[in-house]
Amino acid sequence: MNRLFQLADARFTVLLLCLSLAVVIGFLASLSVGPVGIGTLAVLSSLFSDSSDVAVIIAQEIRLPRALLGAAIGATLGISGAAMQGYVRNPLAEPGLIGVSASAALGAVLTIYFGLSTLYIWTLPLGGMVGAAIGVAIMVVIAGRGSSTLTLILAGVAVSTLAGALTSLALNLAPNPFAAVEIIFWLLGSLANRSMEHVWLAGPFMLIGIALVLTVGKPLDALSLGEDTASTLGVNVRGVRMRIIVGVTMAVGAATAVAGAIGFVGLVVPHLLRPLVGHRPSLLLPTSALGGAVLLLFSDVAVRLLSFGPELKLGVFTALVGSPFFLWLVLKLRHQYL
Amino acid sequence: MSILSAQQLNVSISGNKIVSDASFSVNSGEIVALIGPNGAGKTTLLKAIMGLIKVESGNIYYDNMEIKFNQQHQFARYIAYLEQNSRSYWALNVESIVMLGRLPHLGRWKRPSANDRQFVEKAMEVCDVLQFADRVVTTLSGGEQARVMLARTLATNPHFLLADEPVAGLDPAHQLDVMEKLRDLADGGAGIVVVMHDLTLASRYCDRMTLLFEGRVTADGSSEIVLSEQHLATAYGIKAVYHDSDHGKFVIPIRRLKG
Repeated sequence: MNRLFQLADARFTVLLLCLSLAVVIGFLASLSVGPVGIGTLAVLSSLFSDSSDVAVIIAQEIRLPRALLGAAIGATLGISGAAMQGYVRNPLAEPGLIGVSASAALGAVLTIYFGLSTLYIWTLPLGGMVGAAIGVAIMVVIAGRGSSTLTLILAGVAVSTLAGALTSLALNLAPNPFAAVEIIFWLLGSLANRSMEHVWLAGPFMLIGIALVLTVGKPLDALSLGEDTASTLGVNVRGVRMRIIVGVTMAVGAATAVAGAIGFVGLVVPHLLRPLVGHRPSLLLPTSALGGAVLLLFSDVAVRLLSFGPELKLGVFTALVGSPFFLWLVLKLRHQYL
Repeated sequence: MSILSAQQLNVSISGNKIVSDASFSVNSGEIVALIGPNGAGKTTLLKAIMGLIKVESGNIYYDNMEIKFNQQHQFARYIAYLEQNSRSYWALNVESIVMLGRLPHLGRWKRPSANDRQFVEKAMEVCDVLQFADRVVTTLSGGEQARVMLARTLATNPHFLLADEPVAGLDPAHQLDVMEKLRDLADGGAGIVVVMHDLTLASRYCDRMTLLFEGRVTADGSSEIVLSEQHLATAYGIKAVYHDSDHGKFVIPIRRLKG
């Protein structure tokens, strides 16, 4: 009996180690790939150099922020997807379920629409974060009134739809075609041309959000048996809901604000890893964070390697590669669904 | 010696009165059967006592501590609750499900100790699910899942257990088995409330019965008093035959009374 437990523990540790190793490899690959050929070792030494060499500038100001954002945003999307799926007890949930992605996108798009995005590098991401904050404020008010999970999901759909409609309105009324194209391109999601300012602006929110979500592991395990049973197992269900909403919004809002809407990572990563952790929601949280980082880092490398003409947008790539794979997975595992 | 008690509870759901002026109590060491026809308010009463449903009026006490709506998580170590048709939304293995019963003792970060694992193993053994330990719970039969869920509540080692139809869907052998486990648990000092429909099983294994009818406590006491011809006629609209044997009292419903 105890042997069974130890076996499960050992498997989980090995999984975490493998994923961590993959994150490190993905991070190094992200640092090493770009239009200018600089070897991995050269990039690494450039990171710690204070000369004004071109290689040093490329490594410190272009490659490093891109790799850092790739890892952080991937982790954010992965863990948020796992938390939302665990909370609503449905494998179809994704981080944007509570309206945060759509409202963050709206906030960012409005700064392009009103021409504020060109003033400072941080106005666009800040707009996105303000949008996410307003979106979540609505959700917190709804959740705070003791509504059921279903009410919360439906309210999220309403908030998403409204934000989506307003984004379309901004496109519809775009002052000129260039603004419209800029909005569309931004919405596709990308990590290209991001700077350390973006990292400093969004990074702390993503870290705090992820840390907050990591605290709900055991409550999510208990929620596997439904909300009533979970509360009789000592889970403060309302408190858990608040922590998830606030944590996911902070992290995903900041991620969307700097990178646009990158779909599918939050849906597919928890789905992929769930069987490897015995379907336990608590173990899925850290695993999905690492898995999301791996997926996004390698996708971002692939995007750079595959871009011959206009840059292939990261959000387009993840959805393009993700969907057929997801379909295959769903068909393969169909006997598990009722 | 502890007592879990509810005084004059009134509960309405969407404007419908479900429980009216119901007072109820269970002492440690006894099994109380909560019986009554479908829709009598048994599940609602249990949920109200657990603090899962807001009561219009009335109070619930665990000894001298009041259990308030949405505060049940503070009593998780002492009072376990087995939901009707409890099931898992994820394909967890049996062992992980039963381990959830140790959550109230673990807190947010603590990992299960050897002691916790012993409780889990014991609970699985008692409920005859040890052989399924590494099976995925959703692949088991309904009766097997029911025993896994019962094991989960036993792993908590609670002072009180409120079980909503724990023997529904079990074969006769496992029905007897579960009732015997509950009896052992009560003899070990726990107080147990069990919702059930099998009147014979209830009268054989329970110390006391509470009959709920249309949200009111219609009778409370020994099986002789509660299962009287009069009460069965009013609450269930049935006629039963009674038989005393070496194994206790048998109550067998034989026909419906024409209203």
